[in-house]
Amino acid sequence: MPLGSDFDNRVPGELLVKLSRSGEMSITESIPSGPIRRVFGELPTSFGSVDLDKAIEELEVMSISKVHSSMPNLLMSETGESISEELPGIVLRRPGQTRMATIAEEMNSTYRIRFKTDKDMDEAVKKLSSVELVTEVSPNYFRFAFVIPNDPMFSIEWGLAKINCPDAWNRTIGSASVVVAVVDTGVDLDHPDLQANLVAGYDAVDLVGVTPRPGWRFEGDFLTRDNDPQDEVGHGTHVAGTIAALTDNATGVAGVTWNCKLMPVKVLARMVRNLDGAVTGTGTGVDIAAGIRYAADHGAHIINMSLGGPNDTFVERDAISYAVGKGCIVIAAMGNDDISSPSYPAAYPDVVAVGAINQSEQRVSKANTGGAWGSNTGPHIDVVAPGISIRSTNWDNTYSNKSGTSMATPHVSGVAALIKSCNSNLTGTQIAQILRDTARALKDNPADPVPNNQYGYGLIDAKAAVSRACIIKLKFRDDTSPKTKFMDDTPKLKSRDDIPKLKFVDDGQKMKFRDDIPRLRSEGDRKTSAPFVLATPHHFAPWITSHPAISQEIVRNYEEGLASLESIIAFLEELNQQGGLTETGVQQLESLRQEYQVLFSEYQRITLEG
Amino acid sequence: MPTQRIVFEFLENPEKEPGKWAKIKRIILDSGGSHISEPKGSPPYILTAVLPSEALAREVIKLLRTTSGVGQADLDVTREAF
Repeated sequence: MPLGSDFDNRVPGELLVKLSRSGEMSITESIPSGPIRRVFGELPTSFGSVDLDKAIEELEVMSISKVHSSMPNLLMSETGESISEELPGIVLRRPGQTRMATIAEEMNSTYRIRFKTDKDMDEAVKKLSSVELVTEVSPNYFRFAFVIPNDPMFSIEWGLAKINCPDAWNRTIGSASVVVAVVDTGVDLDHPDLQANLVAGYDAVDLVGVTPRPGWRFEGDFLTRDNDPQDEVGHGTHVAGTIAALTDNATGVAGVTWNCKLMPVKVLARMVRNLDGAVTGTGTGVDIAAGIRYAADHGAHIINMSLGGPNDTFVERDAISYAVGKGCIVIAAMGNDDISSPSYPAAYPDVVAVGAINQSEQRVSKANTGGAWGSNTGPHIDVVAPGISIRSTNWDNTYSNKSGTSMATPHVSGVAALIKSCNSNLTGTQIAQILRDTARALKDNPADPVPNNQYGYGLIDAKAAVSRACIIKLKFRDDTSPKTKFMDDTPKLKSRDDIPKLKFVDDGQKMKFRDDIPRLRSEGDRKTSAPFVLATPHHFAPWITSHPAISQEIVRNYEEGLASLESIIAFLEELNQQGGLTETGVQQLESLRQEYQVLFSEYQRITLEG
Repeated sequence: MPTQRIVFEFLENPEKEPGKWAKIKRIILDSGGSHISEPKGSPPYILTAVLPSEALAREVIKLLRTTSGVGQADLDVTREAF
């Protein structure tokens, strides 16, 4: 049910009108300023001006309010002195303040008209524009946040832009309850751009009796397993930063997720070449299997493995099956040899295998890196992600650019974490499917199929993946708790017979419904039996209606929310007819009716356009 | 690198089957093996041992695969950071 880029983002049933000074003088009604939510009954439905009211007579106006609260009169006298009653004695001399006074006057003359949403907005604009007293008419428009973090290196993190992270961040920046295990060389545990996002980890490296590659030596902590997964190479720290560096902290780099947690699991030791001191991370299948097992048993939802090698091992295969069986998603790098023979763990069927692309969206190959490296290919590849000149955290509290399928893989793990943040019910297998389904197809030749051996299903797309994954629920506000919280579920009223289960209290201040339906859930699974006040989710409308792929579930949520509201309104109307509502209660009943109309029009828009 | 390290499953509890565990250790030690990890936790245990050469490691793997109480057995493999 797509709402594309041509989606009309005008707020239904609302117009903004600016009046001339004579228009302002013609008004005889006393019109207060907004906000107007939940106080419809107190607002006028006409201007008290013949010409203006004639222009809006067919709109079935529900309320008129001033957009701004009353502003000080900043008009200056000819001598440059303020004639403001609100600011007596203050002399305004700077030329700019003349302009300021004009703006203030215009803002004082700007009104919001709310009317029945089935009325023709274009026609209303036309009519109002023809009235001499009106200087400007405009629909009200939904506006959306643009989330750009303030991390100084964000501008060079081309990978985040390439996979549409900023757009995805409008929906979620990640949940702290989602944990990504970085099964790698460990993580720099006191890196200032990572530390706050780390949870406890494990060092699974046990290379007792193992001899290093000829001409190389092991260094550091490589002998026994312990709980200190400190990175001694830098590789795991780089991977971790791409997934979840502290973001919008005015420091260093941004991560794909801002809030998700990182579990450092060290499975690769520091190995140094005797000749030139070159450093790499090396380990064995046994330790990797132990690391996977640890991650799965200690709450990891996503397991990132930017490592691999030839040969299938039963220990890794079993550990991965175990992790996937527990609901994890396992994501691994394809390898950097520009070959088509499989590398494990990427080649295991349960694993999401990740290749690397460059800024031009081409597979990184030895041909386009001067022979340095290339992203492996093969039928097991699932998706690709940016993998060249990736800026991220490095060990010893530094930052660096690195390249490789190792750097592509954490982009995918980060997006998987965003997906999980949106919808915690998804299993790893379901997340993997979303990653594949929402990837943007890439191919070297137009005739190539999708998936293909070079790019799999294509370039991951954080925005599309998050949009696919997110479940939007109508939310009801709990105003009775010390801190306002939003209920995760609307009360599920299947019929009016359910109404008696909600005890109604009208104390003249707030309408309260005591929840006798057990276990109303709120965010964070808070269980409550506290009374709550209904407030409809009008403010969620922009977010909901901008959704690019409205799912059936969202439609169902609308239907459930509307059904619940309908039942409650009918119940309150019945009470009102029996004289059972106070004046406040009647006003709030009217507010609920209006909110129902707004929700219903959104529901109609979604279902009709679908 | 670690191609002379073997990995195998021991499916029994060594306290209940001390004879089986002793036999497995003897097979490894008689081939010059060392660094045999000890079963901890609950079965199946994933255990490792280091043999003097890859050839000997492969021989031990063959023996272990036919030994009572042993599940899968194989060479450990190298993994590298990409």
